[in-house]
Amino acid sequence: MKKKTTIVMITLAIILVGVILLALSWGTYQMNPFEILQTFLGNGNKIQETTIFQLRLPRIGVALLVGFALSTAGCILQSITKNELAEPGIIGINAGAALAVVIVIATSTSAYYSTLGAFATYVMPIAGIAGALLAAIVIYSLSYQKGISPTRLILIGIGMNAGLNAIITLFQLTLSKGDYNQALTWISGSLWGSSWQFFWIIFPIVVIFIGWTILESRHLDVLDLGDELATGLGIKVERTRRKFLIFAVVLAAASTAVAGNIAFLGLLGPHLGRQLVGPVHQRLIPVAGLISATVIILADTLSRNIFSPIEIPVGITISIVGVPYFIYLMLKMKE
Amino acid sequence: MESAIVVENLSVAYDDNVIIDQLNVTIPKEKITMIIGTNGCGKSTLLKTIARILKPKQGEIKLNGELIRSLAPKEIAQKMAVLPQSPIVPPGLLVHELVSYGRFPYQRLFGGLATCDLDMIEWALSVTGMSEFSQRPVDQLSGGQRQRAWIAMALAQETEILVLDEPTTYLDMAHQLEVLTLLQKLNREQKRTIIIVLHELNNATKFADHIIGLKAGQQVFAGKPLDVITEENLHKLYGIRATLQRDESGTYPICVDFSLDK
Repeated sequence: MKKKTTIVMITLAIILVGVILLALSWGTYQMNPFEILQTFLGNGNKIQETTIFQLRLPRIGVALLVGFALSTAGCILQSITKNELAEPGIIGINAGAALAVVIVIATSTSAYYSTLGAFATYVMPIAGIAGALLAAIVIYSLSYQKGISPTRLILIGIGMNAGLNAIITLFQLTLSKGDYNQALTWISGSLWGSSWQFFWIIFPIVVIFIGWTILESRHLDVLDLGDELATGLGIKVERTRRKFLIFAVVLAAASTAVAGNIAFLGLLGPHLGRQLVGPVHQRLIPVAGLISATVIILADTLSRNIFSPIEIPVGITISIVGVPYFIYLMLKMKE
Repeated sequence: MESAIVVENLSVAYDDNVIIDQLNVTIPKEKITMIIGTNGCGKSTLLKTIARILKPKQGEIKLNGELIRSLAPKEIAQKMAVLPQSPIVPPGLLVHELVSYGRFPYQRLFGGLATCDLDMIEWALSVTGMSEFSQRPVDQLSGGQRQRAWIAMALAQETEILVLDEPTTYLDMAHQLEVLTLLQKLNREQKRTIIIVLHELNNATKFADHIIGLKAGQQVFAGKPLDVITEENLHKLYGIRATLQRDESGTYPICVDFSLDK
């Protein structure tokens, strides 16, 4: 298994690097690999340097973090709900973050990202985490009856998701037309306008919480065996579940704050990862992260270019792939 | 007779539905104790309460003389392993990985499995006859093999007490015997205290050193199978008219026929 995992990880890493190269080179301004290399070595011209360092690289960096964060959040939620279809986008956690961020955008400025004041940029992730936590607390307490029933948690989550999205729409209707379009793009999940600033804001959050999750991943493994066995093995089930739920919420919120509400990413990586390396989280989390990161960077590159100069939100591109995959999973689960 | 677990004045209820009412039970040390009774008599509830999955309304449970609620979860996990009735198998999990989870109570935050952990896993696999399956996914095993894999996990937990809730359900007769023989061997060779909730009366009488009959959350009888498995007691417990015989060596009773009360 160890050997297989190593092979899988190396293969996935190579694919990821390939996709990153594609993302660096393909765009309104085309660059070949040689030019990219030259630019990295400091020999590029002004346009090349701006394209790589100011536009494409930060965007790829943000996508990478978002991919890993959502995938890890998905792994955690699937474990604590014991449901393979759980992920932060489906059970309303992303929507909670999205609502909070929309409120920040609507109240703090009439412009969008680039002209958004530094204050708002820093407030957004915090607002996102607060909103997501609030949504998670409501979902958790509504589904709590002497412990959490996984099914109830998911059903209430889906309800919350619908409710929150309705409130977001309500908010959007009060926005001016320009703001409305921008908010819609962002809510659909978009990496447009990602800057180094965004990258560095979520970088520590993502690294700390993924690292922490992997460090304690054995607890997730044991939770997978069911509450009774987990208790028998010495786990405080309810407390552990609550702790990991917070981890998932923070990771989902951080990525929603910079990239909007991207669904299915937390589902695709973990599910494919499980097929490749099995359910042990120490292997699953990195592998699922690599897959989700590859998917989002590829999807974002396509979103930027296919209908150029119009850009479709990456969340929509992922959903186009994600929805059929989700249906496939549901059909397969029935067997 | 020393006791491994003492249940004193225990009451357990699901909301207002009282399942066990002021029950007193003693589980002897280094013996195989079988708990029998009708559906809904509270035997699984008793097991779940001992395993800390259910909280008692009242009463105390002592493990080797210590109050169970005063012990840390990992401390208890090093003394008592619990196998629930139908445990969940994460798809794709290998037998070796499952068994290694039994070492969880001994592992620290940092670092993987130490040599002594690996030795214990190897031993648990070999004693259950699962070594050759160690790299196979658990969900692809047959019912009997899967049950042995779970027992191997519980063994890797290195506890003096093993608690099993109907470990032979869904198994055919040969596999039932195989699992119970394995448990008996563990008891005889390693002096482990084993507590089993069982439905099949004849398996219970054959393998138990101590047998407890529960009815409506109350202990109806407790003792050696030969002493307590009587036609009168079975009538009290199940409401059946049983015909009993002894096995050839005369060491345990067998229920050869039974009919419902008229």
